[in-house]
Amino acid sequence: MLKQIKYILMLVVILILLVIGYNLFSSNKKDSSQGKMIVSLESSLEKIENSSNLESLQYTYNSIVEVPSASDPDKLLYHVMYEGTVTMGIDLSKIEVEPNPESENSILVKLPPIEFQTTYVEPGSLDYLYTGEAKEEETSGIDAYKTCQEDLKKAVKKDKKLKKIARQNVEDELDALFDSIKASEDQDLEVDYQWSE
Amino acid sequence: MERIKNWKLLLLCFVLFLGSAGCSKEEPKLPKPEKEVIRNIARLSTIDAYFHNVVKCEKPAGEGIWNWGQTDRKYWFEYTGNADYGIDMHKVKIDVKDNSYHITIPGAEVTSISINEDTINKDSVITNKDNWWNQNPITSKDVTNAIADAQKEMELSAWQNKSLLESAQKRAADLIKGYIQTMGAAAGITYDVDFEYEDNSIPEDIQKEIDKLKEEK
Repeated sequence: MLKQIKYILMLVVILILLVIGYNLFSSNKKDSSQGKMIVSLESSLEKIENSSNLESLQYTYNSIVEVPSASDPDKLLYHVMYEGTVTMGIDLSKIEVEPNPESENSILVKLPPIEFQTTYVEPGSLDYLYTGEAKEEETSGIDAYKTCQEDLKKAVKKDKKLKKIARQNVEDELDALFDSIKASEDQDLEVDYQWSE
Repeated sequence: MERIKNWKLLLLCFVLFLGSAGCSKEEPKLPKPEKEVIRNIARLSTIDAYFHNVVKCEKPAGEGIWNWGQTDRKYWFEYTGNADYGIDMHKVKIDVKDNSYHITIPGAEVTSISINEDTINKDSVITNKDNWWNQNPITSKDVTNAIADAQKEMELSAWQNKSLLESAQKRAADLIKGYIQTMGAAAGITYDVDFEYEDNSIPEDIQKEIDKLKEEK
């Protein structure tokens, strides 16, 4: 009888150890969907700024970036895939217009340089592939997000074709506005665009 | 002797179990990134609104035997999010008669949202302690999904700010008028410009999301 009780106790102890052991050694591999985060937001309007951004191009970019461990930067924490969006255009308030000195019936529109107006990584698009080299920390997600933002900025800066398309689109938009002006006049007004930079 | 054998057997089971716990799941594979997409747009953003966002997240303890003793986790952080307001230039209608312009400005919209990167950082994170023996970890995916939820809620709240939508619409009209008159001045012509404003109505899909969010709360 005493022997049986001992075996039962032993089994109970083993079961408890199994539960603790499983949870200790597999915390990174647990199904994170088991307890979904409940999010509540308190948002207040901080300030308002006037802008005059004429956006002419939207570029969606997907990529994979390596995120190192914050506590040990030599070790890779995970690979992260993200989707980001960039909009490009000009500041409309910086346009200067003057009669074209080189030709009659012509207007010279001096355009400011093309700018990146928003660079945004969609936070919900981040997908993680753990390498197991380093331990994930609870602030790693914020590091990952910032790394993706930096990567997106670097990637679009290198891309010269984007600027070219954005420029053409700005000219098309301004032409569309000016076409109605031309339509109201009998004279043949021409517009020449001059880009700064 | 027999007792020692039993212990060894149980220890072996324990080690095998731990081993299988670490190796049984296959590493997830990331899908290949999709192709880049370039879209021509014509938007005039006229107001940039900054929202101070305080995000409070709670991850309840899991259910079932493996989650016995887990604690509910709390994860708070704050950051500044931006919402740009403006109009779609493709929807602007222009009627010209002699030197008079009648321009119809479409309803304003939230043209984009973003995050002020300098304001989102690890120092702003406050979290309660997890227990050591059965953890309820807050993963990176949890954190970035929480940011996504907060951004969505901020966007929906931005859409409901009628005075900002109205200001954005009026400012767009001022900028268009300025451009037309500057062009006219360069051509030696004076233009009269007047405006008509379309309603700042919330698109149907956005309204559905607003209603859904209200129901959830």
